[in-house]
Amino acid sequence: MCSVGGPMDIEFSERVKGKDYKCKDCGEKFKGLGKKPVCPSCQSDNVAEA
Amino acid sequence: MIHSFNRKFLLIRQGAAFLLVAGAGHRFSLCIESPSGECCQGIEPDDLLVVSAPEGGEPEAAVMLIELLRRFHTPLLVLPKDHPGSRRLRYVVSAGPVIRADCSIRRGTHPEQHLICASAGLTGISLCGVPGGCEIRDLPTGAIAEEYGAAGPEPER
Repeated sequence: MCSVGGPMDIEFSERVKGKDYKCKDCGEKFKGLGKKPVCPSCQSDNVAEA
Repeated sequence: MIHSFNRKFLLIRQGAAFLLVAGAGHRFSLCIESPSGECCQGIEPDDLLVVSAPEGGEPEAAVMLIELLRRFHTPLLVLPKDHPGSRRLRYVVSAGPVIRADCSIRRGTHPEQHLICASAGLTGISLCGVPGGCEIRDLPTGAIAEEYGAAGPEPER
């Protein structure tokens, strides 16, 4: 069963950790996940690790 | 088993519970807002968007959730552990290249996108995005996988 309201739960030891990126097109700074991060502001994939 | 979307959704159900699956269709940034901050996941065209209704619900509502992500790039909200709103969530969403259904997680509270809260009967299913469709692994006995509805216009790739 799902653990809503019940005793079971999983504590994940490895939480989501993004890397810092900066968009080369619009300058937006963000934490990105995945193999090919995409700028959340302009949707460009022209980004680099900051 | 490989399932081709053919511009439709994939519905996997067992009893009242279901998973609704679609391809992302294009590259976009999916923002995940959690109590610890914001992370933006790069979604690829062949990644999957999955909505789970562990206690049942309306597949059409799941369609709307998928379209909020896919067409309108709506952020995902992650609740803190033990948030009272967790028990009111009938539909939860995950996105990524591979997604596994698991009933041992607290719905709406985990940002890890490779896991989605599901019913006990659908636990263990793995969905892997492939060009134009998805590979279904470890479909439990009694679970039914079928096409559902029309997915609307093909998103730009």
